[in-house]
Amino acid sequence: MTERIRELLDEAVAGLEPEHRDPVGAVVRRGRAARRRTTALAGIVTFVLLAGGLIAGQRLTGAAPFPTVDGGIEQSATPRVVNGMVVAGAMQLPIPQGWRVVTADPANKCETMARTILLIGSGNRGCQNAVVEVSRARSRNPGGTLIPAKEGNGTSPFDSGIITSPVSITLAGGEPGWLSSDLDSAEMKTGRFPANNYHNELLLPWSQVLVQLRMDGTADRRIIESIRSSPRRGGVLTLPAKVESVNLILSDGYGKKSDPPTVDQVMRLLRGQTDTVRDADACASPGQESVRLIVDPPDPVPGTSNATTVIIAIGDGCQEAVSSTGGRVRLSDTTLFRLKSLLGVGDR
Amino acid sequence: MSDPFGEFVTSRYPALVRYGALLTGDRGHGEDLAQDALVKTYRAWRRLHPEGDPEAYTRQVMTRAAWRAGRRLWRFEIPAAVLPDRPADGDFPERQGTADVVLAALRDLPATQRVVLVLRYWAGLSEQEIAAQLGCSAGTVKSRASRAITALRRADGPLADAFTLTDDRHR
Repeated sequence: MTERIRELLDEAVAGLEPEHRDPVGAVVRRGRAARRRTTALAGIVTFVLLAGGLIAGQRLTGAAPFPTVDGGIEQSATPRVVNGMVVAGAMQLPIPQGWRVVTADPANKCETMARTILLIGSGNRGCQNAVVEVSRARSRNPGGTLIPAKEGNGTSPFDSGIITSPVSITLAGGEPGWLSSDLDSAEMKTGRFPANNYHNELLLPWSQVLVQLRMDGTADRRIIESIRSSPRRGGVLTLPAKVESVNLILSDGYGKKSDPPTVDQVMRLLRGQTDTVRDADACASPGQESVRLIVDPPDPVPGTSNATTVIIAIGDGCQEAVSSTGGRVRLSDTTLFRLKSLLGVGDR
Repeated sequence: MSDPFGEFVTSRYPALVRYGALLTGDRGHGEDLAQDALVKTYRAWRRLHPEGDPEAYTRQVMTRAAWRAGRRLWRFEIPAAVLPDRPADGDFPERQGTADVVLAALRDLPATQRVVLVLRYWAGLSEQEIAAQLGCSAGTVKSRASRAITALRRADGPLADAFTLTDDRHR
């Protein structure tokens, strides 16, 4: 069989001729374009640094939101249709041929619409459902499966149960995405439920956009494949300036620390991570296990949307930490081990 | 005056584009992949020429780029404006040449499986060699290769006939 596969692969490309008749020129042009981009980026960075290093400082302390970038990159998370695409934040979702886009309206009759993208604004959405629904996310923190807490398990915010970690993905264009269910999981398998009875959520934390999907995993994947999102929220992890507690949730346990010395050590460890991941190099994928780190500011209510979530995709040569409010860094095994140790969970 | 880099690109470009097409399942993306890699080869040219092996270096860059892109799930996938219907039984072989069918089948594979399939069965590397090249475990290589083959042999897949014919031939 090995030989047959090789034959097929050979045959597939045997007659293939490059489109460029002047490959040297094409490569040189591409190299120059890359250099121009690098130079332009360096210029922007230099300008920002000369302007006082303000943004970098803000990212380190998490004191302020990211600056808005002109040119339609960081725009309103409210979904709308632009040039045949549903646009929300940095996300662009091409409208599949034969599909329609409906804007949610409480006056519309209740129904579940096939081959439809429902745009949900900030007001009352009414009672319509569609197989794909796009809305501004109420929170940048991802959902997950609730695991009920054991009886008498302390007084932490986890008393009502813990939320498992989402599945990390990287969208075309580089924005991280967090899926509530793995597309290849048993619950998303084709034929498991009647049509439209599936449910999955894709949160784009940096764009603050939520895409709800009511199709099986295969159909969800096709929609997600078509999404492009090129945000401008890379850099070091954006974290709250003041932190009351930190919670780490693994697949096999969780830990919470609120004593100031430990919290301080955890925050220094996170803020010390400077191996930033460019959009083009991001690689978190569903095959990896994810760890959820919740960083709670002092007020008003721990565990609510005021918290910052850091999702860490572990192992498999692509260990990335992504903050819900911006920033993506590569984490070493040593750092992850240290984090687990500080939180008192995992393989110490 | 001779231009060793230009000569290298001119002579090896078609082969690199073909390799890129296999790694991505798409002619255009394959050419992009080859050009991006050649830019990096040019930057490393001083240490690659004359003592080094620029082609091996270029292929390595292409492989790792395809693998990284594959880990991101969809970078090299072609965004579909139309959600494709499943092909009717027997549609593919009659309507398309083998090359198109094979490239379409490659495109349908998750990119990480595609990269491993190409390295394992086309380049003939061992699981350990692939693992070393991609920076992952041999177990990962094994599982990706196995899943790729299973997908290609799927009874309703476009290449099922090809594998069936092969099996018959060997009986």
